Amino acid sequence: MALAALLAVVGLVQIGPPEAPAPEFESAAAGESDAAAANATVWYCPWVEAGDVLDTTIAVATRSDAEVAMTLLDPLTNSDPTEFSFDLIGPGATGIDTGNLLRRGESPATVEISDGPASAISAQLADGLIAADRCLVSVPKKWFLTGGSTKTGTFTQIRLFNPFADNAEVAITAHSEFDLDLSPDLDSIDVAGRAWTTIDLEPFLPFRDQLVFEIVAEQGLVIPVLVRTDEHGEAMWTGTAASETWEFPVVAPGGLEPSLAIMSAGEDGIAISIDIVTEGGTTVAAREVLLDSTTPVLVPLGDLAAPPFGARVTASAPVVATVVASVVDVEDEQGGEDVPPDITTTTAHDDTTDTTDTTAAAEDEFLRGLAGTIGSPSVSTSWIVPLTTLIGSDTTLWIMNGGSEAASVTLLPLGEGEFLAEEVIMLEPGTIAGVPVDVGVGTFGYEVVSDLPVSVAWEISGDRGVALVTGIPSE
Amino acid sequence: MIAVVPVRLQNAPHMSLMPTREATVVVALIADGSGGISDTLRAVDGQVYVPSRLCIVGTGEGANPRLSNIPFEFSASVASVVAGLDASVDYLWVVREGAIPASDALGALISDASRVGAGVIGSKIVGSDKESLVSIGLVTDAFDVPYTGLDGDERDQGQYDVVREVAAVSGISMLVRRDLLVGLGGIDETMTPSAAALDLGQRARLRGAVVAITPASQVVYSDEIEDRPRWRAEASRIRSMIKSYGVITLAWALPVDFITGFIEVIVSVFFGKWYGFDWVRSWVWNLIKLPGTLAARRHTRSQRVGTDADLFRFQRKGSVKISTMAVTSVAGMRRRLPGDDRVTLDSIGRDVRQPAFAVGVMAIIFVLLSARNLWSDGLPAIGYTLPFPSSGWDVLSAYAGGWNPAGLGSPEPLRPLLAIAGIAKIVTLHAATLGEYLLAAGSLLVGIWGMTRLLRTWSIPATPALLGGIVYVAGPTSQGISGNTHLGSLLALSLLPWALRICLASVRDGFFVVLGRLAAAVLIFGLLGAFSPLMLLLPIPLIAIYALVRFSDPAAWRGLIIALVGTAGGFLLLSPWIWSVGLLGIARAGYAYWNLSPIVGVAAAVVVVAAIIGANRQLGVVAGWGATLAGGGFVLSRSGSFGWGTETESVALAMAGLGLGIVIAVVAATVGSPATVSWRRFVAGVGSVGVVVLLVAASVIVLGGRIGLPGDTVRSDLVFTQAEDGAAERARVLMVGPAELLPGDSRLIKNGAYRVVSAPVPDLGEARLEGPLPFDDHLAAKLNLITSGETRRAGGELAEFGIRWIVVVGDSSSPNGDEAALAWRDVFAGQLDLLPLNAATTNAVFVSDVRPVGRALTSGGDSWTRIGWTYQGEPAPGRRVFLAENPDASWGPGPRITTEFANEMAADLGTATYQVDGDRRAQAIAVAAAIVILVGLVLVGRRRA
Repeated sequence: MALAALLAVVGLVQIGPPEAPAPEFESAAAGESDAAAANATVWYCPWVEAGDVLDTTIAVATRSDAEVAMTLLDPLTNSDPTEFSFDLIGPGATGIDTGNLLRRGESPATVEISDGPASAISAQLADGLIAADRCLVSVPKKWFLTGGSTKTGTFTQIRLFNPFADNAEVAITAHSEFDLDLSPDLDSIDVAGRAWTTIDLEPFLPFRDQLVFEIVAEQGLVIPVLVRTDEHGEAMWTGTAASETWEFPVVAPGGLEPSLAIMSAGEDGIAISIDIVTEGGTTVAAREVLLDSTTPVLVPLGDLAAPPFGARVTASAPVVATVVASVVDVEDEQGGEDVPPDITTTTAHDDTTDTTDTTAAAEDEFLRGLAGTIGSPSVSTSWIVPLTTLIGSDTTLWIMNGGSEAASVTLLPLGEGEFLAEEVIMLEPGTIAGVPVDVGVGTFGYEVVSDLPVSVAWEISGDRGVALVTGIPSE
Repeated sequence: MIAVVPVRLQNAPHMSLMPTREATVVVALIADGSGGISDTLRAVDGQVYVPSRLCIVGTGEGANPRLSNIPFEFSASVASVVAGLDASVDYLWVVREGAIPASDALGALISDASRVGAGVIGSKIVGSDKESLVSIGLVTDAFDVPYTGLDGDERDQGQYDVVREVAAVSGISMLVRRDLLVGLGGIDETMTPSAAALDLGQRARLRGAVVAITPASQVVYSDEIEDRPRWRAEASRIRSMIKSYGVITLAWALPVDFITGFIEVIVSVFFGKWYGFDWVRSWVWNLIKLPGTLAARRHTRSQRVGTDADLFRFQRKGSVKISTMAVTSVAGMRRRLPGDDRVTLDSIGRDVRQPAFAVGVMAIIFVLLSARNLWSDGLPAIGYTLPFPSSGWDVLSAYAGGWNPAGLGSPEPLRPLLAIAGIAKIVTLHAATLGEYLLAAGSLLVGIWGMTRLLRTWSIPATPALLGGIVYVAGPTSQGISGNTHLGSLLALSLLPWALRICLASVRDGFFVVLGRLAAAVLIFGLLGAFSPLMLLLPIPLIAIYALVRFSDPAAWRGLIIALVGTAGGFLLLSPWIWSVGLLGIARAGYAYWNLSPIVGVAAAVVVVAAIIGANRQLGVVAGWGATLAGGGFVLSRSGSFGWGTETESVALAMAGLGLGIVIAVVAATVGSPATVSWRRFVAGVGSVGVVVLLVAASVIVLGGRIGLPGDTVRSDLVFTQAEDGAAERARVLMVGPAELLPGDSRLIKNGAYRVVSAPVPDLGEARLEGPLPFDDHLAAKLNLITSGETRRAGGELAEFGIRWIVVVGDSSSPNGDEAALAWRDVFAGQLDLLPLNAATTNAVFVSDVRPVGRALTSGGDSWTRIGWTYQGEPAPGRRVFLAENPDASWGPGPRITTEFANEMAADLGTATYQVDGDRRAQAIAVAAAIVILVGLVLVGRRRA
């Protein structure tokens, strides 16, 4: 009996199996890198439309020879999507007018590129309208969309694009100047596989000056995009992850008044410093902001320097940020009752150039344009930047050297042929440089290679309006 | 009113003899050499009613004419006797050699025949003690199998003393009217004597004659009335049916009799008899004799005045053979239970009042209830328990050197359990679920039975032994094995007590007896290992511990030797599988940890303590052995931290369950023993509370009705694959999610478990994965690509493996679901060429949007169907077929191209097959031959014992 008792005790003290480790799939946590990888990639372009008023151009740029397959979903359920394939010789770029493929209104697209680094952007064009932003390659479960507004005359929509097979269930949490702005209708939104849904936010969250959205795919995956519209134009930008640094090589296009919409990704009491980078130099900590955890802040930038200039945001904890450039409403400029209290601190610096009151133009003539863009969370020595040009508009490639040394930057225009010449520029530390893009010669992209890390964006402005698009680093 | 009265066309058999004249009788003495002819001659000579003549039919060897004053002659056959009878003769009295008629026997026959108008009348046959009844006439069943209605040693107390009609008389002593006999064409001498008498009775009845028995005519006959040889008796019976029955009756009676005979052949094997040759010979004999039989049938049927209904009046319901088999089975079981009584009519009354009988009946009911759902649904598909392959021959062939279909296939041999599954399918004529039911339910019964036999070694009575057996096969330890879904280990539970019993039971002297015992040990151990290879290693340590506990008992050490021989022989019987595996690897796969319920643990501890303290000295030693087994098994079942795996856990649970069953039986025996008094009774009483708790815990398996196995999940998970006709047989399913929810073994990629299975449900052959081969590595590389997000075209990447569907098992429907399931779902949710299937599935299911997808795909894009262990489709001359199986040169037909990952071969014939491994096939055949020899040795040993 003693032996049996001893055995029983030994058995009782044995430990159970260790907890099975969770699968470590990179794809499940994808989204941290939005760079163009040196392999096959799929780019998701949520805001593609081709109808009687609006057309969309999808520009693709690649460093290597690649097969490109575009798939444009049909809004009719269970209908086969429109597919279009072509070969692209690298380095090269091309633009596809989706209006030549279909004309059925909204039709989000996927662009599969067989080799890389390669990337894609989409640009919506109409008479008196231009809006553009990069397509997305990463698909995280959690997104932030900043820079929304439903103030009078301004409309914000969110499109949730689900290009995948599985149904998605999405929870949207809104933040506004009223702090956490709960809307039960946004708690659970179903997006069927290979479909999309567009949510007009005015019925749910009317009269908000600032809106930031936290989008979590509780099931499946979605790619969100925010579209902001006012009487002057339309702009769109994609969702982002959070970062402690953001670089905006260009923030003040076409005479619009730029602002920085910014919000904490979770922590409280975040100290934010905004550097203004011009062609002549940098104003360090031109504006500083103290951010609490749940309230977004709109930081005006137009009074800090004369255009053109870029901005660099440094935060003590991860934040999300978007530049929104719009025509300033005179009433807002004079201060309305709803204007939030000023929590910013402005530092005057001698090295800034003279300041011009850009709002004066708004009183004189009707300005066309509304622009917005996400920033680059990091700098890189290599960029692959698809873009588009239009007759009557100027396209400019902007490069920002936020470092402490001068950078030698090589610019290779990309098109469908090899007739475009390479250009090398020296970019002084703490400055930006704009490179005009030739119009009408078939340039649909740039490969930017630098000996030091820089950030890149591009701008298009003209009689149709203004668009700002951040560049895409390549690995 | 006009009355319609049936009128017999032939009234001769009904005419009474004139009372004024004595009937003339001729005696036909059938001298068949069985002995006692002299006594018969004396008895015939001493008849009060003197026959006119005596004819000795046959050789007449040993017949002394001087013993009789009756004129006699020798005849070659009864037919010649009948032919020699003149019209003055009224009756022929047929008497069998060895029969001793009473002096008034003939007179009584004549008197009663005249009185009742019988055409055939027989005597009451008693044994040599003149008290035991041998025959009082016969009835038959519909298949002409005779039935006396007498108990084995029934005494003559005048209980049947009445003249009455019967189907036939025994043929030992019967009086037949001469004219009737002539009309019938005589006695059929191609038949055995009893069968001929029965045949005569039937033919006489069809002619409208009365067949009766008279108790006033008494004949002593010391031998058993049994026709020899047996096959000839069977053949005679069949011939009799053909001669007498109408076409409609024959249309069902002959096929049913054929099948019943086959069943009898199978069942008889279990009782150490072999009727196979008799069965075959009897039917062949009738085929050969068919022309003569049909001629005799025409004669019988053409002059009949009765119908089959007249025969049915003297037939009992049901089948005498089946009843006999049932009684024999019960008697056989009863013999193996403790006690010396046999199942007889007398003993049944006593038995039913015995607790052992009641508990035994309850055990059978318990088994039937516990396995009820397997009857209709078969084995559940979950974990390592999967349905048997549909073709028994295919799986046997695969075991003997064929292709292993698990995962992406491999040439490694299947486990021996598959061979058993194949045999079960073949024996049950490929019935859908019968083989699975018989194995599963049978294992419970055999396990309980085995425990009673094992415990009989120490004279533990039936009731306590049955209680121990029930807890052993259904208790917490058995449920632990069921929870692991180790079907083989669960079935092997039933054989473990037998393996121990065969080692520990006493052995009589004699070479063949010992040889038979060793052969039985090898067979049982081999079967044990076939069910669960690790279980084969268990008896040696168990008996070694027993030998140590009973150090001075030579039987224990002899048992250890038998166990060693059995284990070694058992290993050889596992060929060819045993040579290609490492048992250590099997023992260490997984993590052994049995989660013991505290209530069960306390109850078991109480029973163990009570058994050791409360039992007497002899049972106390047994209890100590049982407690050691329970404790040792318990430790081993939780030994994952020492590197032991789940199959070791199941074997350890069998060991613990065996120990627990033994101590339960000891406690129950102690409580029930009148010798247990004072504090021992109190201790045993406390222990019996623990026994009750464990019995209640064991009864839980009745609820599921699947012998404790969990409910089916895989079958319901994959049922959607049958939505498209024929699709399931052409493609595979990739199942991903938590490893414990996947069928059988699984592989890991970045900690995520996956495995590939066949649709619509994987069978038992797919449960165990072999080591990865090139195609498996290729799949792993593709999954690595998919799970790292480097492709969004998972459907296309997986198509070359024949994977059309992806099933994410586990809860992935909410963020609070299973972590592994959610991770996998996210992987496949982010693919562009997969479509979700939302209808009627509980899991996340994706179907490939790529066409075509197939396990066997021709260069023309046609997919072939998997049929059994082959692929078949439309022949495609000049084309190639790509087979999504691991590359192996034995796939054909050629010419084949050896590809890096899979197989590519000619599609000309429309079929792709695997050429079996000759060495392994030879080994399997050798094992089959060895089994036959071992069975023969066992039978010889049993007969000698």
